[in-house]
Amino acid sequence: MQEKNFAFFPGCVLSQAAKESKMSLEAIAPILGLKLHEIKGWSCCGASQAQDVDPIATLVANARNIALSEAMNMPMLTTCSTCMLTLTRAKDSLDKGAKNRINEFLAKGNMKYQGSNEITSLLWVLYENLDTLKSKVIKPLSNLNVALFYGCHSIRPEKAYNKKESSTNPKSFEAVVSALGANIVPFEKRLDCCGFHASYPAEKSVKKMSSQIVGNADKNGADCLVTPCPLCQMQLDIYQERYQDAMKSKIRKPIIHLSQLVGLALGLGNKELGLDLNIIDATKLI
Amino acid sequence: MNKESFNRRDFLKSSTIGVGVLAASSSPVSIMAKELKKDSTKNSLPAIDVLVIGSGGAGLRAAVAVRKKYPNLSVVVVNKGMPSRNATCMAEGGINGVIDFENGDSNKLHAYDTVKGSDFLGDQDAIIKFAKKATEAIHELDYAGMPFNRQKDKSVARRFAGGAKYERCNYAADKTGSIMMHTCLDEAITYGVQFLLDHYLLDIATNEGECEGVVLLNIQNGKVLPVLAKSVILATGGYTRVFYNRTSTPFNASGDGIAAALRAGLAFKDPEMLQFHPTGVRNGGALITEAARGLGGKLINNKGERFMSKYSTRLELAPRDIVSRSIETEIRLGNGFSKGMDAYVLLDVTHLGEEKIMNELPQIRHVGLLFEGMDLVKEPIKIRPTAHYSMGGIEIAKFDDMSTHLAGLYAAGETSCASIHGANRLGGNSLADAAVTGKLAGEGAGEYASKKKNFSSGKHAKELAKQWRAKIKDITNSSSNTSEFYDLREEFGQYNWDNMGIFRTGEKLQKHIKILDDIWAKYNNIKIANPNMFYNTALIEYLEFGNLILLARCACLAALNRKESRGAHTREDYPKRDDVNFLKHSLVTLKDDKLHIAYKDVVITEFAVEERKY
Amino acid sequence: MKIIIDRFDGVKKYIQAYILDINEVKGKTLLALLQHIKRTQDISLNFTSACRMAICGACGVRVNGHSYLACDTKMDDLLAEYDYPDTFRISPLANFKVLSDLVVDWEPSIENLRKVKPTITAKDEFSEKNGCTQTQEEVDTIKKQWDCILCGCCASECNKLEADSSDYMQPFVYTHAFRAAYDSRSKDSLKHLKPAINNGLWNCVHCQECADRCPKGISAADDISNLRVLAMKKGLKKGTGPAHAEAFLLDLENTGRLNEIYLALRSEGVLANTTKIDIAYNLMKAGKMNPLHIFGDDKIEGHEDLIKMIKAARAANKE
Repeated sequence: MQEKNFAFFPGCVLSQAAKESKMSLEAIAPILGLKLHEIKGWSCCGASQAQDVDPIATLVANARNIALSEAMNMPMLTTCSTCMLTLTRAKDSLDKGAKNRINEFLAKGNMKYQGSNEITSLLWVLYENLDTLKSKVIKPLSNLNVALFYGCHSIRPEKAYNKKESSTNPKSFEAVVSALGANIVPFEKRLDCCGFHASYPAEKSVKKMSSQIVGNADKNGADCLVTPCPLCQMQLDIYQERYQDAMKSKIRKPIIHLSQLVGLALGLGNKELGLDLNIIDATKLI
Repeated sequence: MNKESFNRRDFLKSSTIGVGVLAASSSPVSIMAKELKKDSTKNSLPAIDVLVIGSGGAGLRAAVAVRKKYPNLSVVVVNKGMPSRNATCMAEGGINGVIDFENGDSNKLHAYDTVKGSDFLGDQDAIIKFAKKATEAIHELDYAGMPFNRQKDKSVARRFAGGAKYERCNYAADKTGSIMMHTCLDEAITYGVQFLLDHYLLDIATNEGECEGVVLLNIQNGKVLPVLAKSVILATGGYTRVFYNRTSTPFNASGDGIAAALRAGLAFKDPEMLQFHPTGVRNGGALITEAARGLGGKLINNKGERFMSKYSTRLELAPRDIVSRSIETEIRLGNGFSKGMDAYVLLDVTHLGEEKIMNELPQIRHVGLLFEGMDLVKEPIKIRPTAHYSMGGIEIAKFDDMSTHLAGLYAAGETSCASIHGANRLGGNSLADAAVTGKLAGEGAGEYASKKKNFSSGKHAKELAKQWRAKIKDITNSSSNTSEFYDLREEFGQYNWDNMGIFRTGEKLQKHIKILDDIWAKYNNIKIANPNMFYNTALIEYLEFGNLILLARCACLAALNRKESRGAHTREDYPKRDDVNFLKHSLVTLKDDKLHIAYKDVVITEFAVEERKY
Repeated sequence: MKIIIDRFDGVKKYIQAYILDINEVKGKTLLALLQHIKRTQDISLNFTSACRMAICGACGVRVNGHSYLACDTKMDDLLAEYDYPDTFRISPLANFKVLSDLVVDWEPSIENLRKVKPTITAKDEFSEKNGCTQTQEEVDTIKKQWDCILCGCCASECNKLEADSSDYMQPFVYTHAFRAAYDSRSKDSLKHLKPAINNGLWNCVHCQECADRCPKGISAADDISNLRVLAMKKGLKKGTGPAHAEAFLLDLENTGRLNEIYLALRSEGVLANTTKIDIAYNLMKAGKMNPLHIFGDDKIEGHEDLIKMIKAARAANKE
């Protein structure tokens, strides 16, 4: 792969709660020729939560985020699926008519949204560069049985992503993980929701949802679950003890980030990939 | 340290303990238990004040009208599935009703256009009242929340419809019917109308010249159920499915209410009056709206000719019946493509260009892709006329309350025939009919029920139920050939199309009477190879088919005897309208499985009978 | 080609496979395929349909676990979507009680619609006699939601309903509440908003299945979101859902980022519940939670400008 520059939008969780996601991403990026330049002064995207209180404020914040990346003259990259969706939708509504109005507000900080750049995710960048990925794999993960969990906002709504990928039969994740040589187990819950965004108001339901996902992966013989979304990872990993206890299940499964799995295949170690930071022990996968 | 965030977090801390705060019950309410309360004084049969059969625009408007005017009455709407699966929601163009009286339009002009459109077979007393009530209906629907499109002055948007002199077709995009029906459904839900889903009307029970209730089949479990009601409103829609594979109407438009009314001794008025729309997709007859021709679509035959030039100076924009006849003529002359029920001509809009098609005819393009796999941006689409509306229906005794000649029984919408549409319905008048007659029937049936002290004995209902139980057991208790019944239905549809479709002759109709008798005999020997009574859809289709045969027999008899051409009824052997002998309604009745025909004069009040010219 | 259908005969559930030639499948709609199977192979197969033009909503079913409106779905498209498989699995809509084969029970849905009182009460200036006035722009705000045909496709894959339907409603019910509450003719949006709140408005898990599966392109998820906006505007903020959402906004305003407040929010909730102290401990041990961050973080670069922008937007929005 020719070296590619990206305006990197980490999103809030990558700084602390999912810091291993950022660590692993920063570890694999140079190997794959991805140059990540963190956007200075990026703000929270609203996480589809602040949108429910003040949609105009969040639209302004995201117009600003995109404008910051435009000024860097690079495509914007994020690993968080919810950031991806909220930024993409903000871009869509800006491009479809809100641009001029919102630019009046951005002008207060001497900024302007142009609509000139692309927003993409780690998953899609890997998918679009499968050959490079394959060529860098030095430790094929053929002994690892993985259950692939997409996470809702990676694929839905399909039309929000301009039908870039089928939401009923997506293939990018499988293609990427196949390139790493891992053994993908069948997994009926792969397109389901972990419940993260309603973990407060609908706690009981969310515990059940998360538990079923882990249970289903276990039933199908997975050694671990992998997800491209750090929010899903948090939900399934950090609270696993709690929801599994509540559901009276003894099953525990490591939940790892896509970037961590890639890192393993690229020959990186647990420490570099932050696998020791995962709550459910993920240090003995290979 | 930030004081504000600290406080907020304190708050969050306390508020995260209580989970499940929004718990609420969404357990289903059993309508059978709650609303169909037994009539304790009599025979322990379920009893309801006002029972509405059918839940299209007319039925829902009726149910709401009862609840609004008589809030103490129980109202139950019966449907053979979920309430919103009906023909009303398929109407696209709009709903007629004058709301702008500034530019010369009036209720009287609406009435005149309707009378003229009906080819003077409409009853003028009813039509004049109808036009006035149509205006009221538009405002009522608006007030109830129907999101009409709007003009600049914030009033309801209206446009021209065929046969109208002024813009009085009020619309909500190109889905007026769906939006109107959902407005009515929302209203019914909000006003406490109860719904009895998945129940099929088998028969109407009478007692000493009065309607005592109905016999229903609970589709969910196959149980036959006599239900008592103080008054019953039939709003089961039309019967255009007699042309089974060539109609724009839904699969369930099988005229169950009309057939039941016939069996209960009521007259079926003007059954021969069936409207055809010129452009249905060849494969099944789904509608391609008039807009395709309005924007410049061309009709082409197998010689590549734009054949409408032979028939009308207005080409494709001639009235519906003329265009329909022209297409069928081409097919008969051998200028169409393919043969039999598959025959078709082409509708070409490719010259409009992709952009215009995508902007103005996206729905039609979708229909083309769906049914023919053809993209009309790239190629002309296969079309043929399609049966569209039933002008005929249950004879109404009095327009003001939509009562029938059976006390306690009311009818509304396409099921009924108050002779608003006569021999031909105008575009935009079907939704107006549903809205107006639905409300009138509701208020009429409500008044009747409010005055009636006790429920009837239910003796006849119980007797009928017993007969139906035996019959259904017989029908389903067998293992006959699966496809036999569906094959017969296809055959039936084709025969109806060929013999009593757009072109009729005495010879063909005479032959057809015999054909229908044969089909009826065959039908009665068919069994359904499915004894499972849990949601037996094959049984329902079988029962619907039986009704369709009965109604087709009525239509054929009336068509044979109407020796003239008027509106939708075209007799090649009698090509002219005959006001001397046929300015009257056909009335078909059923007695001992034999049909009888009688006539009744058309009501003429304000408008002199004249030639129908456009 | 094999078509496997989930059957239910009123007593027992089973699956049945129908073998068809690929030419019997190609060129048909999904509804036409079901009709073909019923007519040529099995008269006992039950499903519902009426208009076959995507406007009556009768024929929602699932293929390979995803809901489709059968009359509006071409088999050729499904073949392409699923990489020309040799088998399809057709099932009834999920999250509905199955009555028979592919037929589901709509009664609970109607009762849920009843809760949100879907009909507006028009403002006093309007009357039944003269109707209302409204601009086309005002109609446009609710127009999309009126395309709902009650087909149930949105409810079928709703992750929240699947987990627990006792504190949630079918997504289309919220869509109905939205279109009533946001109608400019309506005198009282609370009439529809309050029952929506009381029946699960904040329990949506944001899975976007409803938006994805709607054959009419409606996003019930967006309608839910907009009802929440209205609730906040009206000061109806009781419960953890509103507090949680508001926390995000406040953080955006305070520092520009959540940082690990995300986590702090959770940990505080966890700490408040003494039996769950383990999670906070685990996180701190893993170095993923700094207890000191509970007192706030540094502001992002350009935060002042961000606040200016938001303030300007809010001011303009109020005009």
